[in-house]
Amino acid sequence: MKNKKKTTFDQLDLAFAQSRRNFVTKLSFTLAAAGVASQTRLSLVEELARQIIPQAHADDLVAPQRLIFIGVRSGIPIMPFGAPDLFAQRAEALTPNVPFQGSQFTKGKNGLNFSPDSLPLKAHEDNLLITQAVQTEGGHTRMFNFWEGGRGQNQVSPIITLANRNPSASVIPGVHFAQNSNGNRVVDHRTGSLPDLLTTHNSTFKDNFKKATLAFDDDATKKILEASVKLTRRQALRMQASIKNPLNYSGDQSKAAELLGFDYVQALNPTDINSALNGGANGTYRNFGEALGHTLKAMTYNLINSSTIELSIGDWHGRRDMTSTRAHYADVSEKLAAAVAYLKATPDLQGPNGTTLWDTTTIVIGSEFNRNDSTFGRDNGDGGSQGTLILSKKVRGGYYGKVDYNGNANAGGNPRILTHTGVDRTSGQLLPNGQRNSTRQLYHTINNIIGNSSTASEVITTYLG
Amino acid sequence: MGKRFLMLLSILMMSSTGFIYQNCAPFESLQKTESLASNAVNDFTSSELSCRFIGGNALSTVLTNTLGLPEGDVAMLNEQGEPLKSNNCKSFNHQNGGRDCLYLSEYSSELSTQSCNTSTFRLVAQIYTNACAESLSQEENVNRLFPQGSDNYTTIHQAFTGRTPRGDEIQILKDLSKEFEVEQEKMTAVCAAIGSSLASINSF
Repeated sequence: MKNKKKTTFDQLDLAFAQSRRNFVTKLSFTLAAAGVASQTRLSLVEELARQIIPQAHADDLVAPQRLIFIGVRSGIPIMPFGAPDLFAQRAEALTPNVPFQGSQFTKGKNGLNFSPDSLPLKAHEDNLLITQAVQTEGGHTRMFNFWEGGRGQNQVSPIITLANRNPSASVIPGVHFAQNSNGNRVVDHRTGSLPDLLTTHNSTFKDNFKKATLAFDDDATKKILEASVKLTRRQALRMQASIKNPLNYSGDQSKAAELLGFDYVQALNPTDINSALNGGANGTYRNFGEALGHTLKAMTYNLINSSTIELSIGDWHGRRDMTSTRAHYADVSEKLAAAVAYLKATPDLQGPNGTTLWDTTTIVIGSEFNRNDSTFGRDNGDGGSQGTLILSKKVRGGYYGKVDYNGNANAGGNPRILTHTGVDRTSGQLLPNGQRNSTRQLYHTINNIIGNSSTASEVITTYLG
Repeated sequence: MGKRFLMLLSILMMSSTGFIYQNCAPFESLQKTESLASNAVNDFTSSELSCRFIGGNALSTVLTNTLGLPEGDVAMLNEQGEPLKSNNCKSFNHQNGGRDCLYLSEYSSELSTQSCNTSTFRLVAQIYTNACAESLSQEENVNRLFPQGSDNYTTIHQAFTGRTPRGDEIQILKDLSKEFEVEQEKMTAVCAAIGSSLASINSF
C-alpha cells in the first residue's frame, strides 16, 4: 500500500520509552494516593519500571529538559550573586548593591567572587554562570529583551518553546507563578501561536492537582473518563491530517482523566524539602521560596516541566538601604542553593537510570535591565547592561566579561559608573572596544542549553561546559 | 525489597486502577509515536491549525442550550457530594439566597486562556460530569437528549458534536452504559463521556 507508514525499530523504541514515561508518572500518582512517603515512592517507581517494562530500560531514554525561569523586575543587578574580581580588590565597601570590602569576598573559580550573602551559592560554583555584559536595548518592560530574541524581535520565549515540546511528558507543561495573588503577571513571555504557561500562585497551585468531588463515585468516574479518552483519541486520529499534533491533545486528555482520580495536595507540600525554601523574610522572598518549592515538588512527580517564577521587589535604586539589599541577596542565594541541592539529590524518573533533576533542570535568572552600581546615597541609573545568572550542569561556572570603573566618586557626588565588556562567543576573549554580547546571543544560548532549536552562529559556546 | 512484593504491588495497582497499561499496547503506542516524532520545534511553524480551547463563554452556551441548565453554569460539590458553599469562592453569595460556588465563575480566568492543556481538559471533565448529572435529573432534559431511551445515543451525540456517532463510538458508549444498572446513571455516564471528550474535540 502506497501510503502506509512503516514501523521502524526507532519508532518501537520511542513507543516503549513513552510507555515507560507514562507508566512512571501514573504509578507515581497511584503510590502517592496510597500514602506512600515520597522517597520510598521514588525508589519503588524506579524499581517497578525496571522490572515491568524491561524492553524500555531506562538506559535507552534520552534525558528530558526542564527549565525554571526566575523573572525579576525592577532592574536588580546580578553581580551581587557572584561579583567580578574588581569588587574583591577594593579596599572599602563602596556601593549599596554589593556593600562589602574586598577582603570579605570568598574567591571562587573563573573570576567569580562570593560575598558573605551569596556564599551559599559557592557550593554550586562549577555550574553557576554570571554575566552582566550583555547590551540592553531599553528597559522598564514586562517583556525582557533577551527573552524574545532581542528587542521587538517577537521570537517565542525559550520557556514557551520548551513547555510546548514538553520533553518529559509532564501532566501540565508549564506554570507561571504570578507575583500578585489576583493572577496579574508582571513578567511576560512571547508565545507566538503557542499556548502560554498556566498562570498560578502559591495559594492556588495545588488546586491543579487536587481531587475534585464529582457526581459519581471514583470507580464510575474512572469508567466515564476512560470512555471519554477513547472517544477523544478516535476523534484525534481522524483529525491528524489538518490539526497540529492532535494526538498530543488526546494525550493531555488522557492525563487529565488520570489526574481526576488522585489527590496530590499533600505530596506537593513544599515544607518538607528544605527549611531555607520556606523561611527567610516574610512577603516577597518567602513567596518566592514557596513558589520554588512547589516547582521542585511538582517536577519530582513530573506534574510540570517548566516554571516561571516572578520576583518583584520594588524599584531597585542605589538609594536603597543596605539592610534591604542584603536581605534580598542573602534570601535569594540561600533559596537557590537549597533548590540546587534538592535537584542534585532527587532522581528524575523520566530520564535514564541514575538521572537526577540536576541533570535535566536549568535555572535562569534574568531582569529587564540592570541598574548600575553607585556610591552610597546616590541613585544608580539604568545600567545599560543585561545581567543573567544561569545554574545548569550544561554551563561552565564563572564570571563572564569584564567590569571597570569609569570615573571616580567625588565630593560632588557623581556616581561611580561601571562599564562592562563582553566575551567573544567562541574563544571567551574579551571583546574589543568595550563591546558587549547581544540579547540575541543570550536568547540562542539559553535555547541551546535547554535543547530548543537555536542558531549555531549566535550561541555563546564559551559559556557551555 | 523483594521482587515478589514488587510484582504483587504492581498487579494490585493495575487491578485497582486499571489504567496503567491502557496506552501501552503496541498499536496505541505507535499511534502516539507518530505525534512524539513530530514534537520538533520546527513543527510550531507549520500552517496547520493550533488547538484553541472554546473558552468559558462557549462552554456556558453549551450548558444552557444543550444541557438545559438555565444559569449556564454548574455547581461545585463538597466532599459529601452537596453543592459547595464557601466564602472563598468568587461566585458564592451568601447574602443572596445562598448561591452556590459555580465552576465557570470560579475558573473564569483559567477558561479564558483558551489554552488546550491537561488542566483545562481536567476542568472540563469535572464540569460536564456534574452538569450532566444536574441536567438529567430533570425529566424534560431526559426526554430531549434521550428521546429513544438510554441505549440510543444519536440525539445526545448530535446535540454535542453536530453529527451522528460512528460505529466505533457507539460501541464505546455501549460498553460504558453496560457498567451501570440504573437508567438515569447510564444516560448521565454517556452524557459525561461525550461532554468530557469535547474538551479537545471541540477545541480545534
